[in-house]
Amino acid sequence: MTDNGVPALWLVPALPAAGALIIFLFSKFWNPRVAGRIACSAVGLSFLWVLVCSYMLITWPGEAPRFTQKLWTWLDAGTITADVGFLFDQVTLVFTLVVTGVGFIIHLYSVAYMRGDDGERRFFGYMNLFVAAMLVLVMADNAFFMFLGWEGVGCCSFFLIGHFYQKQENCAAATKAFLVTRLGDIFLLLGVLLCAKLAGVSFLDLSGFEKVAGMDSVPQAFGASGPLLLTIAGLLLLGGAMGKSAQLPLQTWLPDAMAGPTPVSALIHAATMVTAGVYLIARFHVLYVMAPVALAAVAMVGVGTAFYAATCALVQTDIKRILAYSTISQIGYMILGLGVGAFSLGLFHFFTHAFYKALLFLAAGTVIHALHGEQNIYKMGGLKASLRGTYLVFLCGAAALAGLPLTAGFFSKDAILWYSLSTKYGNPALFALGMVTALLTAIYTFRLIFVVFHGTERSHHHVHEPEPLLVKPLAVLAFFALFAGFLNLPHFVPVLSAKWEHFLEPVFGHYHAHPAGYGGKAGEALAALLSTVVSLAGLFIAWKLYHPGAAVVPVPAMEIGESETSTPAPYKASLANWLYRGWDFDRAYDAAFVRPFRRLSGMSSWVDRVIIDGVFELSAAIVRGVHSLLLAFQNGRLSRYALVMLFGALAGTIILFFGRGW
Amino acid sequence: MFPANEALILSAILFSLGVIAFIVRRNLLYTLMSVEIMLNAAGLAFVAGSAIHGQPDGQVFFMFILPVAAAEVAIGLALALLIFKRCKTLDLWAIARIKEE
Repeated sequence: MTDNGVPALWLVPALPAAGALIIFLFSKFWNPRVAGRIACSAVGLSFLWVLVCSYMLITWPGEAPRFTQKLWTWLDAGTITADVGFLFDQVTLVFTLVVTGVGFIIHLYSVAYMRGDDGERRFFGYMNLFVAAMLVLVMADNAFFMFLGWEGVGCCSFFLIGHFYQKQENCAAATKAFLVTRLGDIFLLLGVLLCAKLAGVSFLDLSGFEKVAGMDSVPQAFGASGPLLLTIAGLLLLGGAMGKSAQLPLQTWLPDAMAGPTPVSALIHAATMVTAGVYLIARFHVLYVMAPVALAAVAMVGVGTAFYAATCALVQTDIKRILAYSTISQIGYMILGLGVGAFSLGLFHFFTHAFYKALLFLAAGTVIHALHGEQNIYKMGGLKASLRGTYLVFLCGAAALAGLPLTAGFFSKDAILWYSLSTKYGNPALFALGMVTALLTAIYTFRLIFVVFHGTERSHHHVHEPEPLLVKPLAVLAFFALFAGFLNLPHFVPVLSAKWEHFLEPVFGHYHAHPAGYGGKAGEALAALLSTVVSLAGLFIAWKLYHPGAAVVPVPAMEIGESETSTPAPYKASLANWLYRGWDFDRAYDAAFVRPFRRLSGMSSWVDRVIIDGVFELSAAIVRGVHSLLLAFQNGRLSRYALVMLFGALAGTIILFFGRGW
Repeated sequence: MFPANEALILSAILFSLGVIAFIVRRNLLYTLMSVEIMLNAAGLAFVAGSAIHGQPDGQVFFMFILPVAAAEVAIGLALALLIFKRCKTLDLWAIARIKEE
């Protein structure tokens, strides 16, 4: 506790950071199991402290309470200053609760999942470091300190994707993830610097992101170019969000990032890190409201990504890749929510998504674990009986993902869809594409369920019963996946409606868009009905296509034992294969960037070898030639030395006597 | 009357002989001898110069050259002896080749 009663906010990221430090420094002297225990307790304690902070924030007297805490000045460079300081408001509360809460459950799960792995200590060290960096990201009170956390999570993501570094593909996936997100990070840094320039010191000052005075004055201060500059800043920040949150066109790294262990996919590449872009845009909402073009770009990127990833998820055969694409798609929904001005609903979808997607990933991890590392869904099948508990929790997560009525995903997604139609930034096209995506989501979700858990068992492995720690923690997530939606019921419900929006009102205030037209509450109810119908229709279509015995859609031709990545074209239909390859983004990037870069590097290597090295080798050759020339004089032949001396003396004499007057 | 000019010419001839011997002979002993000849030629030139100018400096200088020459012979011969012990030859070119190897 500090003097004015504000809880010690720094303790929240410091606990997992300390855990990481202890694990890295000392755990090699202990049993590898200790590392897991330290990691769990560090994140657990951090979670408890977040609960304390949250309780104090909620019960804090006065309007719009927010805690800030400055530790020290980190950098002070003229007009740009940044502090090591923490901010705790309603947005931070949501993010820290999810990061530490879901993070704690995933850590618990990892203790069982990673047992016996060679890199157990390394794994838990980086997991704790990741949680610390993520907490810095969401708690930093200025954009520069946030950038530190932003890079920290990227780094830990890189290390954890490459956890099984013995395989070349995993290292390549880690490098790809790192490089692609770095590209976004460059945009983010440029955007942050532009914001600093636009707003002067105050915007990035101690008082945090909400200090909008600086931003509001931009149109006056910069005159006619003010709106343009704001739009550019907004687009740059969107570029940062694209990289981290795997939005079009920087989404290619996330499906490959599934090379990491499954808890990593659940924590980093589903629940927390990939939603950093959502956090970023929500934090800079003032900027976006003042730059409507940038906001429209956010909405289009969001809905486009949601649709894109849903189509790709339809045909994937790797259970983790399906979930990865669905993560991209769901983050697209969040970004869509932000892009239509419904900032609190974007965060609400983040909140519910964190639970059900972490749940789906962890349950998928249990399935993979039980099948000795098998990830191809067409080699699973009929696991309903042998993995009963896992099936049940998976079903909860899938229902939420597909948006079946009354689950968490239903409320959060439906609210975003309704706002995408009815706010002043929304339009029917966004709504329609969002609805189509919702249909696709329901189809691929239940395709997963039917292929993996129903029908006949196609696995050649003996399915062993998962240990309790791989199933029990998931029940908590399943509970939230089913019931977290009741935190924000639609407006037409008489009780508990829009609770979440009210809760976040101190942060977003009048910048938050509100529905207008389209029949008000009746229209909202109609939209909810429509999305109910859509999700049930998706379920029905999936049943028709993939229920045991249905053979409408051909099962991909895949040889038993063939690895997932080595078959770029498992289907007969070329459209399906195109979707399977993610709309050939990888190929396009390969042709547009990777190969030209290789050619360029080949050319520069030639320049280096032939021209640069040539210059140095030439000078070396000159020295060597002069050397051998001089060597001829020093041959130990005394008489030749004498001859040279004689001629030298003669020449000296001649110059001395006859050279006068020269 | 000391024939200074003739002495100078003799000195030049002696010095040239010494130089030529130094250059063409390969035996260390002959080389040492040619160095002696050159020293003495230089000494003769000093004496002749002293006579021409009517000054004693040149003769005094020859007095210094004599012990230098003696010392050179003493050390040179000692070295020649050692080199012969080691290389079994006094042929300078052969000795240079031995060094190279």
